[in-house]
Amino acid sequence: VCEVTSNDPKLADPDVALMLRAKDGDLRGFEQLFSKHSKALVNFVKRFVPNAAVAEELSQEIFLKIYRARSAYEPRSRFKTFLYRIATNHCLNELRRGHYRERFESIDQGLETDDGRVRTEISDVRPGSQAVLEAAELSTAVEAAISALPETQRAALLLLRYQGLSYEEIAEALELSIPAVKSLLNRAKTALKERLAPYLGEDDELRVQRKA
Amino acid sequence: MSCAFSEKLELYVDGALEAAARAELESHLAGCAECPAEVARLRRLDELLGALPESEPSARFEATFLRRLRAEAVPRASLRERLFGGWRGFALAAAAAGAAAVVAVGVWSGRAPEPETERPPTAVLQNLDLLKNLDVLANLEVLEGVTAEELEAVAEIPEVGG
Repeated sequence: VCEVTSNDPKLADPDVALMLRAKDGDLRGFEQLFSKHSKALVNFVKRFVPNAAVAEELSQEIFLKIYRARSAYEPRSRFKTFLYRIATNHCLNELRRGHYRERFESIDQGLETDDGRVRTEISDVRPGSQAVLEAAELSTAVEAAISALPETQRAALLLLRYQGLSYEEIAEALELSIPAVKSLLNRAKTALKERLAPYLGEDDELRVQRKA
Repeated sequence: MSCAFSEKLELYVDGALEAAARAELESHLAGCAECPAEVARLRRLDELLGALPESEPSARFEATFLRRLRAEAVPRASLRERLFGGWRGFALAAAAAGAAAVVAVGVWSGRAPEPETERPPTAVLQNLDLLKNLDVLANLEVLEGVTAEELEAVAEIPEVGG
């Protein structure tokens, strides 16, 4: 018999409580989960598929998939870890169908110039503001560097930096060992440091800090 | 980097080191010629990543989802009721029973079924084939709303599939 203790961190997660309420038929509980997590989820999914409409559709499918299987839900981790395990599987399956790969590569190749910097191709930036242009260039460069990462490295990095998952939770979400996650994150960061080197120099330090 | 501590720098910046290891690394940083610069670089990378703006979903996103969710939440008839409950389901069941009778009579009389060239397959036999395959069944109009994905949902989700 598995005795559940009150200091079990996953049971202290209010989202787990909402999911258990949804399991018991409380639709409101599930709607709250969606309201709380859907924006971050769409932003996560968008870094795997090339357009916002597709990302929103996939995000809805991910939540519906969880809802359809609610009757068999058993909490084994924080809800967020559970959500991103389903989400990562869903995104990687979509990518493996092959519709998006080519488009990502062409975006990446199209942006980078010979000196390693990334051209700004944002047409709706108003001219005249150097700070706005610099911020747009930086965002474009960072987005391109993330998109260029292999999918699993990208997933690990996004879960760490934007979803706030611990190494242990990333391991659970990606169904990998913790050493494997450390290795993925190390390779991802090494690649990002290379691609973003022009923005990581000592001279850029103040500029980056100002923007952050 | 050649320093023995270099492999722990990422864990340190990510807050993934336990207290004792963190304290040890911090005292190392005070005297190392290489590691503080790498820590600064990793922190700048982290700041760059953190400075990316988060985009808002479209205005219709939430409403669209809630509509889909509430449609899902309406109690639905079971698979059996959907198959055999309506008049179409009854027709399908009757067709299947008819086909079974035809096959039974064929076997009982010891006579092989007539070749296809002389007698094209009937709708009854086609329906029998359909009944053998749930994936195909999911495409039938009687199962409208139940997708193949839905049928597989439980198996696909690790928390559920086991």
